[in-house]
Amino acid sequence: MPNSDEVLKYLRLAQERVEGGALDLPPGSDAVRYTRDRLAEALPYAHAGLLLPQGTRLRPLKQAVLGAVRSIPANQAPFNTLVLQAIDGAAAAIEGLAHSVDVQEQHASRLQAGVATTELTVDDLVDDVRSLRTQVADLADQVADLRRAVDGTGA
Amino acid sequence: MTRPLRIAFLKPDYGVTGGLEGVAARLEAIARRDGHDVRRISVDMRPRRAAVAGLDIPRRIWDAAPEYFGYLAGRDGFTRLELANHDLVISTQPPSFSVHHPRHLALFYHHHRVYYDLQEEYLRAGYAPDEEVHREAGRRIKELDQPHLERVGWFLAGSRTVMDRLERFNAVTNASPFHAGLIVGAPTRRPPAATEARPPAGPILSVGRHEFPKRTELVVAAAHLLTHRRFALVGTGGREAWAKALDHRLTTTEVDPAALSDTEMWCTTGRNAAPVPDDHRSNVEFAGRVSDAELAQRYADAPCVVAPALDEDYGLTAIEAMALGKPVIVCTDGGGLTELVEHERTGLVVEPTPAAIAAAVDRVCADDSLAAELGRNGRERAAELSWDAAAAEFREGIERVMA
Repeated sequence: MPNSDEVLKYLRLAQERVEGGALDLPPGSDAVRYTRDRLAEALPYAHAGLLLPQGTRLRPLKQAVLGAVRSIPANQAPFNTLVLQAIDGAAAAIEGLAHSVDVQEQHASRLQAGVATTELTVDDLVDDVRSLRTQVADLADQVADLRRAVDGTGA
Repeated sequence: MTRPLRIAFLKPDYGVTGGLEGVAARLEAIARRDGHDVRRISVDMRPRRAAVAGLDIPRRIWDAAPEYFGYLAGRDGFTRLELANHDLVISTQPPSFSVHHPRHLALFYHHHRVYYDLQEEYLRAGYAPDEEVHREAGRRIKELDQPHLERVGWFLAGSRTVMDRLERFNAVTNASPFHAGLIVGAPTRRPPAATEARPPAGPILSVGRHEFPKRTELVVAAAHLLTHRRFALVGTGGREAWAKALDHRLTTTEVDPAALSDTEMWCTTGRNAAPVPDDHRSNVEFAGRVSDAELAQRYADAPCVVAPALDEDYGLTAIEAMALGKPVIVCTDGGGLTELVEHERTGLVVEPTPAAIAAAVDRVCADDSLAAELGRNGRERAAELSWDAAAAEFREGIERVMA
């Protein structure tokens, strides 16, 4: 039988572990939130003033003048829009994946609490969760890159 | 009535089915009938890996306090449940009350008892050889439980006994009693039919798991003071071998059952039970698990029912027995059982000794008019504990949390 002090130490460690056991935000959550905020801010300016509303008087002429006086390439606005849409899609993908990680993590936790029928099942699941975490982290990096690209366009 | 809600019923899975399982199932059915969307969410409490929230515990350490680490592992499972898309959660056994949710109704029957109301008996029985570790673990469990219990919106407590425990251990008073109806058989106020007027000739019945501290050993010992009467114990459990060994010992030796101490009967771990020969026979039948239909028949055939448990949370078997017009014998320290059984009105409340239980059984079996009166009164008492009344208490609990 282990000595009491050793057991008492683990009683404390286990208590501390469960007391701090609030579900960690999955990796990428901050990036998703930031990207969403930035998208909300950026979307009204995606066209950078380059596109005039339909029905504007002398619209073709004014559009040509705008194109001449602003040093933004003609394809900038649709590019910005597409980038933002791409980021939006990436963010949605990350959210979906993050949710999946949440579910898997809960499942893993429950398995650790005894749901597992074999140790192999637990290990497989833990590996799956680890793989998902890696994917989420990769996607978060990609979003961060895209974010920098959007910032760089001045949108 | 409350609008249709999405409700999560939270249930730890200990791998055994007790009366609470039946109660939870009935409440789920009531909630569904009321138009709510009900989901059962279980967390297995039998970890195959010695870890708490990802912290690996050396197996020898785990085994020094398995009640603690196992509880924390399961507790962690509940705290991690994401239930924000539910309008209401209803926790049942501990540690399901550890869930995080702003609208939480607790169907509360007990704490983690070996660290609360049963701690002293548990230590005395020798389950936890290192007393210092057990007490320290209990202190930490209470520390962990307290904030979760304080966050519960309302408690439906299984009995006054349970309400008292909540107030004593947690200073929690936002609770109302919840009286579950019977699970087996059907309540009725009708007088006994002509065939029922004859005293039943079946074995004296005791229904309950062979677990600490259901004290089925008291019935075994009492039976050996009344060897001319037959007894039947319905139920299985981890101490069944111990109870059978006691039966064998009392059959084959000159030991006086009335002289047995608690530690020789129920206040012990029951490990290392002596093997019992296959051909062993006595006046005690260990019936094991039986179907609901067989259980109802056994109740009907029994002249009386003995419910010897220590400090029971509620006492479903007593209600079932009373609903079927059976006198019930319980012990003075039976907790919720003594709330249900009134001495010499619906049953007999006696000291928790083989001699007192045997005397009570003999008294009921020998006095047909007393048995009939106790049975009649018990049937009326049980009829008050209908599922309609329980459903009303349940709905009131939901209203309180959702208000």
